[in-house]
Amino acid sequence: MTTIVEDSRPVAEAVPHAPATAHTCTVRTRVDAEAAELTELYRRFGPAVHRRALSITRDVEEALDVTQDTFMAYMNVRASLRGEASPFTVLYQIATHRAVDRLRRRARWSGSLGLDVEDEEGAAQRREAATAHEGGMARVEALQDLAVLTHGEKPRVLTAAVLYFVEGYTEAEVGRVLDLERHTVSKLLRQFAERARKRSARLEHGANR
Amino acid sequence: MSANEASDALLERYLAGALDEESRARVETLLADSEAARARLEELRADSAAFLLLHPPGPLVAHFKEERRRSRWQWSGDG
Repeated sequence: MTTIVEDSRPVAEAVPHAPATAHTCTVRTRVDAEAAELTELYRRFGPAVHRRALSITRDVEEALDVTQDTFMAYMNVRASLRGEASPFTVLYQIATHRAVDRLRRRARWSGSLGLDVEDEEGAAQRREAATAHEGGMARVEALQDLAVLTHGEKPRVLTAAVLYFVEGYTEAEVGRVLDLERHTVSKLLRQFAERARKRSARLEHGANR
Repeated sequence: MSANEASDALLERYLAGALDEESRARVETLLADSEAARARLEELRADSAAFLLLHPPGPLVAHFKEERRRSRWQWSGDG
């Protein structure tokens, strides 16, 4: 039988009558160290994660839930990260993914999202449109459409798609936000757009039946 | 990078000290040139302070410890 006695509580409380072994003390120290790391991460990145979640869900309480979920998820995956992305990038992707997940639950397809991957001039026009409509229905509808179209996409792809197609970032800016080379962003967006066009065609077809 | 390209995501990264040297230099050039970008940065900084005051890390950290404890008890009981 495998008995793993790992607990963050004082040893005497966690294991009544058990002597404080070197193992239990080590485990407690590890949990305390993780808690200290989480505190530091939250102080540094928590406000940005919450603002990111709020910009998508537009609901303060829902954004707080997403913020908590994001940090819990990060603490569970961080050991498997290979160091290619910074904590900010990973947290930003998880927050975007989870916030869009929430949005998807109440999203309805409107067909208003454009899926063209354009040159810099086109990107500037999209940015202008995104800014002009910020807070308005156009952005909300585009975000809802994207939520529907990104079901099953990886957090990195989904985040790049939100930044580019909804928020009007250029490929270079998406790269800077997500620690990616511009050509990687371009390839990732074009592949996503191809998949999304097929999905949107099915949705249009379904809506017209 | 022009003034209207002061994207929030990059300012957020700058504020959190999470930009590489090249990107940080770009943002600092923009901040030197753009009053709007400086104002936005200050807005984000103030919002961050207010957020941490209203929502300190304590409850999240307590929840995290509880989760760790629960998952480890589960392991212990699975044997």
